[in-house]
Amino acid sequence: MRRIMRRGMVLVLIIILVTPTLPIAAAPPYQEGFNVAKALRATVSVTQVFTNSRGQVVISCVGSGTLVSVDGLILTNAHIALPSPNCRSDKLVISLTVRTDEAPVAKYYAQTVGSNLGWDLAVLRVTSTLDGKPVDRATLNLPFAEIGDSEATQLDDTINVVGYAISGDKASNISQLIRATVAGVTAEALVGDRAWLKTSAAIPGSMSGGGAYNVDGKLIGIPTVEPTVGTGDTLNCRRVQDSNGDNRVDDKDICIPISGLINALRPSRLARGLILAAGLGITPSIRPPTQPEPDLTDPPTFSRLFFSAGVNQAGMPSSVVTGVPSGTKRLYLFFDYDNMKNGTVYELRTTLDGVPNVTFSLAPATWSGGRRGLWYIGSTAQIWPNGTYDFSLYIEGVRTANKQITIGGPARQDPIFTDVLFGVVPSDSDQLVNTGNLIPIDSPNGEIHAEFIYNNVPPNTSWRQVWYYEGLKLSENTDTWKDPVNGKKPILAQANPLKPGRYRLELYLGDQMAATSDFIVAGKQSNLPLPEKNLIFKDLSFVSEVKNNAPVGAKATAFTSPIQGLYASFNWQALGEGTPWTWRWTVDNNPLFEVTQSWNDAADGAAEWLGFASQSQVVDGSYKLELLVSGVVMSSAIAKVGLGQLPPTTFGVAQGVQVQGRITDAENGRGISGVTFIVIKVDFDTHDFVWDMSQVYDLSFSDADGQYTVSKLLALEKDKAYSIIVLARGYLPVTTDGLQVTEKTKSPLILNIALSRD
Amino acid sequence: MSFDPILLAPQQEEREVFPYRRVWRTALIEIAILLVLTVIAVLVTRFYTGTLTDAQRGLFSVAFAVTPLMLWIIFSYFGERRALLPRERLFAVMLLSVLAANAIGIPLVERVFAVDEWLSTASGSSRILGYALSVGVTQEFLKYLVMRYSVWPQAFHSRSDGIAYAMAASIGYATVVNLNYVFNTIADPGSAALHVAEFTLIQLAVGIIMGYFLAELKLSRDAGVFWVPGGLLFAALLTGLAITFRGGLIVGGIGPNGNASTAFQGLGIAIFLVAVLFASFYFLINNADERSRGRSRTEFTR
Amino acid sequence: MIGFAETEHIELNFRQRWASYLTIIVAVLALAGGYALRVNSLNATQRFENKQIGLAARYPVNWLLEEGKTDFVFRVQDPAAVPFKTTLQMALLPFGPDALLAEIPNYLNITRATSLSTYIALQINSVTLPNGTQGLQMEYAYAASETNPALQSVPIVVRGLDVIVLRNSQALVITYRADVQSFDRNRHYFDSFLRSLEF
Repeated sequence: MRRIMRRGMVLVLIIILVTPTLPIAAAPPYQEGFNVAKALRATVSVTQVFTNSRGQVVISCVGSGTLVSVDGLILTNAHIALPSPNCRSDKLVISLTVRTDEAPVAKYYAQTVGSNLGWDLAVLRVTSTLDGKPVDRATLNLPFAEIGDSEATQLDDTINVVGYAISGDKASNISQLIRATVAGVTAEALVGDRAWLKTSAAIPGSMSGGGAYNVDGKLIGIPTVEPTVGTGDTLNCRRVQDSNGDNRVDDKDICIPISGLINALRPSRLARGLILAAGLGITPSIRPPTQPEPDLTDPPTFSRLFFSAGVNQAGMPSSVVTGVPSGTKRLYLFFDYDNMKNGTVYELRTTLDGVPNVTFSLAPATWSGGRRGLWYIGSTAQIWPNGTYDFSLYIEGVRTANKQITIGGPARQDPIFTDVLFGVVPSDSDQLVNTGNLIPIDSPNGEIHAEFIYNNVPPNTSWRQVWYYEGLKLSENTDTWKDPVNGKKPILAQANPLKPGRYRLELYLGDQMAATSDFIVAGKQSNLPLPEKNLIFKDLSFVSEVKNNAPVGAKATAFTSPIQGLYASFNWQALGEGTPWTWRWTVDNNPLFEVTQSWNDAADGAAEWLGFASQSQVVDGSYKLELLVSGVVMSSAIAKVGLGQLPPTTFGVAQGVQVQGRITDAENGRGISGVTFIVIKVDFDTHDFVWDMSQVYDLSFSDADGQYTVSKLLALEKDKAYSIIVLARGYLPVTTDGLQVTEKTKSPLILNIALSRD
Repeated sequence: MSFDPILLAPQQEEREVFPYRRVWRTALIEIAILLVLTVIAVLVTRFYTGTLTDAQRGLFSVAFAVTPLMLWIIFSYFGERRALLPRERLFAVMLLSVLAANAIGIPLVERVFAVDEWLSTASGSSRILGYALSVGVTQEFLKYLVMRYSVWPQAFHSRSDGIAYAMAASIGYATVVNLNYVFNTIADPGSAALHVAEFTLIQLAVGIIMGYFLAELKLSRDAGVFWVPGGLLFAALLTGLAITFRGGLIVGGIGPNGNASTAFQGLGIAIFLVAVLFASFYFLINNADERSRGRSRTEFTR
Repeated sequence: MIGFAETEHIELNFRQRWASYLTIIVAVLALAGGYALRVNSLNATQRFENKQIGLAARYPVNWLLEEGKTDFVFRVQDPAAVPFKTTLQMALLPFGPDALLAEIPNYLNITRATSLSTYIALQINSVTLPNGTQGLQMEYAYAASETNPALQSVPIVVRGLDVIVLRNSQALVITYRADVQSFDRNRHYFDSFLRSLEF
């Protein structure tokens, strides 16, 4: 008997000693920086819907977006958010990633609170739940992505692209992550050298509007591609719904556009202003044009395609090249455009020795350059491989123009003209004072001075200068080269009187265009130093109100809160119709709005206004308005509102650790609904806790699947620990007094809790 | 001057006054098999990557819930049948305990005391007292009633009879408690096995107390009127302690990934209880039997 | 297997007989003690007092107390209740001297309908509070749904009960809410609360 008991005891001891060492399921691999779950949860699906005549809700367009603030600001593409002929909509539905392995769940309606069609970016704000109840922004605690520094992104950097991908082999539409590298940087007129980041991976078009994250988990780009629906056999869309209520789904029903593959990201830098403006609750406004936009009856065209190895501040080519040597990094395709309309989709397809090359192509993008002008697309980051390139430009999917260039071989010593500058020559000097690509209308004797650099030009070479005004040839002068081989050459044109508007100079060597640049004649000379020397905009001042399309109230540079809007009023002179000009608002040196548009008014006038209105009141800050022509700030002024400084919370990035997880029944692993998860303030522990909410840091209740999320982020508390109580009737409570949050604590902190019964 | 008694029979036969089945041995065999089965069930559940349907889980749980009873029937009851002098009404005691648990015990605990409503979240001392005065008293009193009014005192010839009948009553009661659990809970096989094993062991361990005290009341002149009520309260208190400590042990603290699974520690407390109580009562009974035999020998020689 | 027929009758001695009696007595007393413990545990209360607004009441211990929010001055919730946290709440609504008691339920219905899903008022009766104050009692129901968008739950049908009394230029709204299954079972908390209410 004793032997049996001894053996029994030994068996028991073995069981007790062995069981704790049994292996348990391995924890998911720890990943530095980029938090996949966080990025997936910040990703939303954006659906445009409208109600048809039968009262049915019809889906017209779908895309992705990224939550960029805790209170429901969403960054997405403008073409996803704004209604268009292909995307009829009266409501935007936002579906959240509730479970990262499940399809998004429609939760909110949203409104577009800011957009830039040219950049194809828009910021939305969730406004109400699907049952129409307005959301309380203060209590919204949505997962969101932090905006990173897209300018710091380099070639070959690893990026993670997140969005909702719809593909034929997927039963459901779930948020997906695609890892890629930065394969290139694309330049584009109006934006600059870093207008697009190119990716190595082909990303499904439905992920357009989603997010691209760097290895630190910061949002550095927005995957962007415009859908091109096409027609007939090339129809690129999905018919999923009986939108007209005829009990059939046929070609009379709404067709949801499908975008092609994405290989370009809009840098998040461009979105900062839109997000800040949306966060401040302000929307820009400008005096409506006095003259209606002319109807464009002629088809849009691209013409005069040429290449340049550089581009200056005004967006003009530094030279014209017909071939470039091996190792070239910077190459731009310039072209004229006419009859274009903002919102039109254009595209650049490039082939290298006949093979499509996505790195140097530009996926369908939205046009924002206005009706007529000079545009460019280029690449500046990576070395162009040797070969013959064909650049084909498309408008709305239709090939419009193309141009070829060969890259390779050693640098040649061909004669070249480069760096055309325009300016004025003061009466007391014979040196040209560069005024940018801008000439005042009162230039003495109607003279237009220019100079350019020349190299390797042999004597007696035939060369030519041609001057244009608004597309019409003004003068043409052919000569033989009498200057040295290398140097700088001034040239002069004269028009009496000078008219305001857009001019162009073309320089030819033989019959080959060697250099060209557009310039603008506008404004009048003043006694001010450069750049204000040329005065276009005058008397820039601020008011806080606009009534009947006119600024009213006292002009001031400082305003006492509260004001509902801030408007700048100014006069102008000698600004020709159609001249591109830019207005740019900043607050405390942070970009807010930047819009380039064509001047659509008389050449001289007063009391033009532009500004912004607030939904409630203009937030304190120093608001600066800059007015630019040809890339040069012509006038600027600052208005201080309230304290003249943005509240410190404006840029407050949520600091802390989010606690979430799943509460399950220990006996079957199923989620328990309604369990209370209490986080006690660090000043108390579970023994001090007297069930008073004043001691509670935050609490959460588990959902039907046992999932919970503590809304309030756990702040870093040095040498202090949070206490936690998890309880539900019928289960043994789980408590702890030792939950410490340190710099190394990863957010979200996943605490899965298994509750046991007695 | 004294004389050694004359040996009329071999020493061994003199000790075995009643040639019954050896109750401790079969109980330990049953417990050992139950533990082995439990460990197998837990390991299989942990490493099985497939998914079981609720019906499959339920089927397994029911099978495991009646496993202790089957083991008792195979080893204790059939063993009893093969013994020279089988204990009477062992099966009846088990059956009566089943009926009492089902008709009175479970409804009383779940509906009248509704322990889930107030004890799960109560403090430690309240839980011990609460479980002792509700669950503990109910089950031990019912087992006492079953034994007292079916086989006591006529079937209690030795102290090990008390243990045998108490185990029969306990296994019957535990089976009903376990079936009630598996019918009302969808549990993974491992969890169900652990739960069944833990509660069966606690029932067996605590249950022998009433058997011992009833046997003492029958066989010992030293057992006073407070002997059995005291035993009842002691058993109830141990039940309260066992449930409370089990609860404390199976709830793991919250670590960096949540709370760790410590379900096995519940089995540990049950095994500990079995080991301590079985050992204690084994030696108590041995000592008492030795004393009784010594007293008998003294009376015989006198 | 069961052989009751052979039962032999053994006369119990005094000690054994009284041991049996005592066991039963002790067991019954212990069970009664256990039940008393249960009742005490479930009905244990603690006092809440707000001298500024002149309210005092007793609420169940270990219920989570919250004070001084905009829509209530006092609220306790049973944190262990699932799926809906049984709630006792007091709110003070300012009303003009000309306000009628009967107008207050209407106001509550209108405001709640905008914030609570599928809100529906059930019945409105006159009621006399334990301290003799006359008031109105209104029952209602609504679907409580998850407000956190990251969580998903089936809406819970909640039944509510308001007792409304006028106090100077204020209406005191004492509210009890529980999920529809446990509304009646937990109603005693509200009744005890009302009995203990001092205002």
